Amino acid sequence: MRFVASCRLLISLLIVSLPVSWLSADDTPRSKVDEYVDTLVEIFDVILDQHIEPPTRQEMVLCFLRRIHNEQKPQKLAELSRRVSEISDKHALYELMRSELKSVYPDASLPKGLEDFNLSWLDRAVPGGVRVSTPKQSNVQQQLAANRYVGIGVQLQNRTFKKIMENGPAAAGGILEGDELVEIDGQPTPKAMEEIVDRLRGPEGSAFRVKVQTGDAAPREIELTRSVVVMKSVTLVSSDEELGKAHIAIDIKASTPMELEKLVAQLPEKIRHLTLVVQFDGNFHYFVLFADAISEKGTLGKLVTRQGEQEIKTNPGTVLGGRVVIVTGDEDNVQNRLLSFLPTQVRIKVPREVSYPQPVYLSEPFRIRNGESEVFVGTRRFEPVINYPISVGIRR
Amino acid sequence: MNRCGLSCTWLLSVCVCAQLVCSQESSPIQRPLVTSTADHSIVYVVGARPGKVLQLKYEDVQQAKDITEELISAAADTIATNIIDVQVDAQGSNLWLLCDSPARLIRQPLPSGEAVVHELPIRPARLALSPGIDGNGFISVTSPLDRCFWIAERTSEEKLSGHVAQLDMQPQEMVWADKDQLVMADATNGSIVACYTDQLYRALAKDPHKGHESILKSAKLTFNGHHLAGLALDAERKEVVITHQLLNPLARTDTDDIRWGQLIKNSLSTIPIQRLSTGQLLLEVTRTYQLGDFGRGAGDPAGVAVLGERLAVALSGTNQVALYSRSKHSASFVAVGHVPDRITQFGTDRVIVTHRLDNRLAILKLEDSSLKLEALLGQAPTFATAEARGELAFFSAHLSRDGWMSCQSCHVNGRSPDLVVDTASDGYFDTPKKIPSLENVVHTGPWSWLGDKLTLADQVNKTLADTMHTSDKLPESSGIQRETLVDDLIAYMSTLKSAESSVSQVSSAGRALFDEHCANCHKPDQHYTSDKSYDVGLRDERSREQFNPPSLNGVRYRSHFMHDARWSTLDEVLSAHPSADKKFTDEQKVLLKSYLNSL
Repeated sequence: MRFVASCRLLISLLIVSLPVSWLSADDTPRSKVDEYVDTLVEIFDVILDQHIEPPTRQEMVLCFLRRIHNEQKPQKLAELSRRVSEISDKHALYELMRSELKSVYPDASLPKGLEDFNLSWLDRAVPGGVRVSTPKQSNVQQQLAANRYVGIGVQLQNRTFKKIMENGPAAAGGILEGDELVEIDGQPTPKAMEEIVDRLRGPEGSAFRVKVQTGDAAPREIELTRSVVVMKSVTLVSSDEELGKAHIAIDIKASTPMELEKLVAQLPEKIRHLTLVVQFDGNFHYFVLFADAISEKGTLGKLVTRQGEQEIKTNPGTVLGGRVVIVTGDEDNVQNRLLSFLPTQVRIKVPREVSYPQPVYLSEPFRIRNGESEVFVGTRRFEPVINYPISVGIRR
Repeated sequence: MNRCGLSCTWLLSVCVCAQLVCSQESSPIQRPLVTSTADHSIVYVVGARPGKVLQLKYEDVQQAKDITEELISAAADTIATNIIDVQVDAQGSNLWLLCDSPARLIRQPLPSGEAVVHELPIRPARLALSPGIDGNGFISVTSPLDRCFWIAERTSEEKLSGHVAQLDMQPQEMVWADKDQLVMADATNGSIVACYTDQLYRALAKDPHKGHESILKSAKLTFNGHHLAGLALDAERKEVVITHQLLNPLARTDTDDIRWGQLIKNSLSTIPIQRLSTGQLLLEVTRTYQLGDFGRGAGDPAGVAVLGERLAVALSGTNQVALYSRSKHSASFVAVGHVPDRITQFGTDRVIVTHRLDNRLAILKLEDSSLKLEALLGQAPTFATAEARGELAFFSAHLSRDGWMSCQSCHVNGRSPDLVVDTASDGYFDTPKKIPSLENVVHTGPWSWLGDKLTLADQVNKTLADTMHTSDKLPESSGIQRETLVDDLIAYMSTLKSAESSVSQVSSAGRALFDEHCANCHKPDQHYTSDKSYDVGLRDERSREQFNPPSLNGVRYRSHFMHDARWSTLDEVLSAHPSADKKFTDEQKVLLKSYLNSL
């Protein structure tokens, strides 16, 4: 909800900043091609405005032209490259995109791959790549980050239930691992995985019926109500009471501080040393809250942006491009805050600085309207898993 | 309307019920208050019946399945009215009653004897007796409104020689850690004072106006949390237990941050007593336990009692008591009446709960949450007026998503803990702003820091919708009416007036300076605010520069200033207020501060 609110503003600002003359230059009804190019213009503007290492507009336009023309025509590409590099005016560049698109697809029908906004052709120009997701996908990502995934709590492989989450509606309804999904709401299970998932997902509280089968037994019908399936983001990987060590894996989500607090409070008395290995999938807000939860002043690292380096201690707000240098820890800060909920006094070792050889890029997705439909655009989330070992020794 | 709730298993009709009802028509029933003897075997109940002290014995209650009228007996008569706190001394020979308007401390000998009345020079809140009060000992009374406490040495039966010690906090709850150490907590902000009273008292006796400030200054500790609404000791007097809340300015008032306890935490902290006097940062020695969980907030922890490893915490927002086991890190919850706020140990295994807005006593057994005895003394509250309904709603965490907070959580007692919170009341997240005080709030429009809410109803609606996530349907047991909620809250808010200053003489030179340099925006005839917004040279995270000046009524209670709470003293404000058109001399600052403290 929050990012939609903030994105609305950003997008509206972007739209407002487009010259009115350009938008209304053409009085004829806008074709599909026009709409498509307009949306790309918005996406390019977002990238230029928000990415930490943005390409030039020309580079992105050239990527687009490479994509619509067959890349096998080097001569054509060389000519386009020359033309693009000569144009500095933004509107002229977009007119070129429009006219080239119309020349390749005169009947105003878009080739497959463009229609669904697969922007992998931009990867060549944009560090970190550009990812487009549907509102549905984006919604699921947000649900996962906030640890309030709405569903029935299963993992499927084709029609087979691979995993049943213990606190989910499927488990409560008696679905077993290995069961076959025969029917959904009286209809045979679709073949395509996407379609199955589509049918199983839905709003919280909505109910539907499935028919499942265990082995060769008679299929049974089960009514399921979709609900929030809370997942673990903090896991005790191992604990060795003799050595007094425990290893905790953390995948930062909204629930992490609360989970960590509970888990650590219930560790056996003999544990004297904890190692927290932290993964972070790119949701900055929850990263900051996690940092704040275990460190008194909430500084766990630095965020490197176009504006320079800044400590991660407040919400970065609308910073969307960024490279994170994890993590300069201040031992005392981390220790003081952790002490407030650890079962006994602790001594923590935090690496002074752990920087990652590969820059990582992130962005919260933007919502962009394209006619009736809408898409979410963002640069790729953190691909590299960030392992951030915090070593916690317990003094007794 | 079933306001008592269906869960009231046993209701008691007091034998003089009819008489009581008659007398209540002219004067509303006063909430019952209880105190227990040193061995917790007897509790005395006052306030429920005018002129009477009632008593309940643990040995009678222990086997009872019901509180029958035979269990409650009259222990004494009392002349006290408007009782706000009560304590029985260690021998059980005197009941000390703290009364408001007029502010009095009354010693009522038990079972009979002539009451001795002491006038108090402060607006009192709580009363505490030092453990040695039967011989030589101290009596202390806190006053959050006057930001001070009164401390008296009991030298003879009748005489009390008391002194007032000013504090730069609003002390409310207090406990005597031992016979010489008094611990006081700020109900609104996050301060604790732990002072040695013998030394302090001697300094006050020598000169009531100076000498004690340095003692109190070094006794003040900063606690990580606000709304310190409950304070108790364990039986061995080894640690002090504090109930409080923790507001995180980094978190947002969105559903996810609320549900996972990121925005506000409902907590219980323990501090070893021996570390209180060291003046060190409390963070190092504080242990914190969380009472809320996913899907179930524990809004507004208040009174607390410690019985070994088990604790009972009144959750004044959710109308429950949490029975917390420290070894198991888990709690069970028992529904009680409206706004439970104080808990007293009763016997070896029980507590007795009283309520801010209910005439009910609940007796709970800590190890068996299913065992609840309840007595309704007199009438059940009806909440018939908008103001009464609004007060009930103000303290209710039912207004918030999963019960994590009430209005009171942030606007504690109508004032502000001076923390910043990221509510998007100004349209955006990541622009946290200071919580405003609600003193005189109905007169200080337009509302919000940006001054963009032209009616108070706009602001209340915005807060209910986007900060608290108030549901359209509230549980009937909450007693709140959703349809009239906004009007009711505003009716209650119209009773939140700024407290009169105890400063009797206002310096005219200070006033002249204020009129010349400040009154353009903080207009005295508009409650020291203005209906316009001004650029004071500060900007928020969205580069907005125009802010509506906050009212300066009650500015003496504040610990942080400006929209982002950047300054923590009036000195800083007077030195650095960007729109001040001149640099004040030190002398002028003293004059201005004394004037501001009178508002």
